[in-house]
Amino acid sequence: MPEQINIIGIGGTGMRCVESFVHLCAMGMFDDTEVNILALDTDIANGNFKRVRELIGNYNKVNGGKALANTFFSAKIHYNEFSPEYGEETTFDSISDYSTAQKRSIGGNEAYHESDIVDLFLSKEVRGMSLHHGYRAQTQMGSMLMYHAIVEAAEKVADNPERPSGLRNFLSYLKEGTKHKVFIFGSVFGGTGASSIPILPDALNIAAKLIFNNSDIDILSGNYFGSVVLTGYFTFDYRKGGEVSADASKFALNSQAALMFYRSDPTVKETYNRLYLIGRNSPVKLPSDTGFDTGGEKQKNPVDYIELLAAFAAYDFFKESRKEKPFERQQDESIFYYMQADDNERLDFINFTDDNEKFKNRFGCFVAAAMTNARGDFFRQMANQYLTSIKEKEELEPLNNYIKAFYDAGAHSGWAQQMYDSAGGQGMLLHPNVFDKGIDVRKKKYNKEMFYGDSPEQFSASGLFGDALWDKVRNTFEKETDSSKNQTMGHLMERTYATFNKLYFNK
Amino acid sequence: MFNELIKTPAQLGSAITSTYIYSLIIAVVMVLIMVIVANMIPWEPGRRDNSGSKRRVAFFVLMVLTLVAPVMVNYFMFFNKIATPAFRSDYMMHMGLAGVVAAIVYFIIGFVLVKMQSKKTKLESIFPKNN
Repeated sequence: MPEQINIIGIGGTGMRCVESFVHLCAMGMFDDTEVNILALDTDIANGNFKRVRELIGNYNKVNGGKALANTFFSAKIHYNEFSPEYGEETTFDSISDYSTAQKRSIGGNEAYHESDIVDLFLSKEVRGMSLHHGYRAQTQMGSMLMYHAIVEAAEKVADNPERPSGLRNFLSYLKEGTKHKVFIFGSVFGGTGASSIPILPDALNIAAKLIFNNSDIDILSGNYFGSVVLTGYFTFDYRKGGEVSADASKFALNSQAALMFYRSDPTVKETYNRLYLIGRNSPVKLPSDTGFDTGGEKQKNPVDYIELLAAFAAYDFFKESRKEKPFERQQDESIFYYMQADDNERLDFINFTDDNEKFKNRFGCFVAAAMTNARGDFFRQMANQYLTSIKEKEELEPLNNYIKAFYDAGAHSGWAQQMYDSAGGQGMLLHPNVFDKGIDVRKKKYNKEMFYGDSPEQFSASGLFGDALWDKVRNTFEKETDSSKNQTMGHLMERTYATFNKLYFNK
Repeated sequence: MFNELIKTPAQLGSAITSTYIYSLIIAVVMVLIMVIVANMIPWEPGRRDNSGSKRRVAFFVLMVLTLVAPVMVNYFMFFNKIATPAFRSDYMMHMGLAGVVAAIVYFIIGFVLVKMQSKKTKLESIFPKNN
């Protein structure tokens, strides 16, 4: 029976953490697992949101809807989305009917009005800003609105059960039983994540009761909740003149305020079994040509290795949850684990997870597969030669699209390349030549230069003429993997993993 | 025997027999070389691997060598030692014929060997089976 885990990604930062998590699934870190994902954002047109949607769409076409093991794309992913239906004209005022509240007095006393408390937290400018691109770091407003949006959406689904709902699909995995594991990705310095993390479990609990018309449902009790709390790790200069927008200079302050809140809030302390605090000592300045807008299609921040760390926080959480007595601690006890890396240090596999050998194996093999594919259309050739049932448009195209999103070694782009570039300093994980943009992929000797340092994980590829490395890989695929697996995309992935596992690790 | 001059019909007959034997040995050796060369030619990257065409070229180049090599070998082994001019023209015909026989034997053995291979192996790619 596959293990069931649940992931919620909130906002732009949450989406990028989900993206990293999906890549971990693709390289095979979550064997025999079904992953239930809810992508939650106010800004459905956000570039990061779209990227995750496409990524998971391609992933699922490759995976084929099965939980597998010892292969790439092994986890089965169920993907759901939720977004409040904010249009260009939607504002806090329009949702809350502020103008009516402003006119209504309290207890007949004209000195006090129903809008007075809101006026303490929200300026006129904030109340009147369009919510189409999200809450723009106005968490004092965002928490209220996100809670309201979730409950309102649940009420609509309850009134019309035929209505498609990502929220209902996601909650259907949690409504029965206990010991469900839910991990939430979001930032605390921005808008949607910081707004949602404190209120989300409670809002989802109420939503579940409404959607399934069962007041006995309690998704908080007996289940495990964890979250990564990402503090400010990037900064930018741009500010769209006149409009409310996120101000990077306040990220540190926002983070501090959020962490103080989490430390003291009883709901957070009762609900979350574990919080992982992750950040950088010095925020990275986003390049000026980064797609930036207050939100929308143009907002596409590049990936950062911090997001991979966040994905491994989830990995650690799910691993902990499998223990006999998970998350045991004394009342009010807080346990802090920390890891510190200097900006000039090289990040190695152990910096991300205790299962560093497994990570090294899966990441190395997956990157090698991506490089070999860039070198000469490896997947297509193997499919043409050995697995002729694989369909070009329905299966090979999504696979190639996914691999390019992961790492396009020919164009020196993709998630893995951006991840490597974000680390700066002495680089991270693999041999520097792997991600060196100055070397053409066809000249890279990644048979010997895949892993950093004096690594035994290498293989020789020599020949008098032609591409000896390609020849070695194909010969291994043909002769040293299970040739009876000659039909499906699943067979292709299994044999590809087995090929590089054999070559580098002799397993 | 190799150092003696060929003067008698008996010696000529023996030389002719040896010529054909050497040619067959050369044919077999060439087949072995063909197998080695075919496996040394690497698979090629790309949507479709076209290295089979290179192996096919190598196959026919070696076939030509199989035609020529016995002629060269037998020229130095026997033809140069024929003292009688009448014997020379007779032997020359056999020398040429032995080369042709070697090439035919090379092709037959090589072709059968290729066709016995499993699909998608390097040898099989010389004369690929239909899908």
